[in-house]
Amino acid sequence: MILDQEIMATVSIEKQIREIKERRAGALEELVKTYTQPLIAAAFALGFSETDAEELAQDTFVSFLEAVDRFEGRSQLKTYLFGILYNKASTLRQKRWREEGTDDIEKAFDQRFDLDGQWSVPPKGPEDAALTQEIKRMIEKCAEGLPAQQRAAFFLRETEGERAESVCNILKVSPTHLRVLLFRARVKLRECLERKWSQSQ
Amino acid sequence: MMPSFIPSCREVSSRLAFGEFKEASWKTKTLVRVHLFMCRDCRRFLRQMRIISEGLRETFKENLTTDRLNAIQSKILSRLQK
Repeated sequence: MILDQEIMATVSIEKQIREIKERRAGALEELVKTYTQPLIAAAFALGFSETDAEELAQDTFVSFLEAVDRFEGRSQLKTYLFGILYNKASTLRQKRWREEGTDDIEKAFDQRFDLDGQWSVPPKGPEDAALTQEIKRMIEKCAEGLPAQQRAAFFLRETEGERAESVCNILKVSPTHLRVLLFRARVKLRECLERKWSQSQ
Repeated sequence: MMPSFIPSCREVSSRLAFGEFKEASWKTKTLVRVHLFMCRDCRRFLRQMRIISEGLRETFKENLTTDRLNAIQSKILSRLQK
């Protein structure tokens, strides 16, 4: 049953690509309708303004159409588009978002534990499992302070549900580096949330 | 005091921050759960990891109004059809 669904999905993606290659209006419309929102969300996650995000999404589609003959369907269409967008974003920024090997956040994390690995500075901050508007705004603010690559990793993995392997391909990082990016993002956000929380109390 | 075969707070919270709980072995999962049952601080850490994920997912999703999105889509489409 699952296999059938997979075969059907493959057949329909092949049909979609063929129609895009033939520049059929309906196929192009479907492509743009399906992927504009995630592409713009990805550009926002990378820290771009709305104007830049729009331009990046546009350029991504243009590049995709120019090179659609080279698309072999080995990756998901969305993953492939994210890859193009990330490359364009890197050029736009004129720098690679590669990070330093160490990060202060790892030290900050270590300092919270004693030698036995027990908390010496236990976590403070929201206790309730519910996400209130107030906490959401705090998290939003904290996320603005994250480096672009960490935000992108988080966006692709958790918001878009991309597989770890695909995220590595898009961001051009190793699986180990991806783990580190996600770890740093989560620990930084938590530290930041704790700070904002205690200020608001 | 936790028995020595139970992972430490440091190990539990770093697993949670790496997002590696789902892939862990059955044995590790059980030991982490026992730790969480006994440790209020790590439970708080876990809850915070969850609201952070949820909060960020929502933040990333609520980025454009439908009108704005439609306008951008039409613009892109007309450029592609040239």
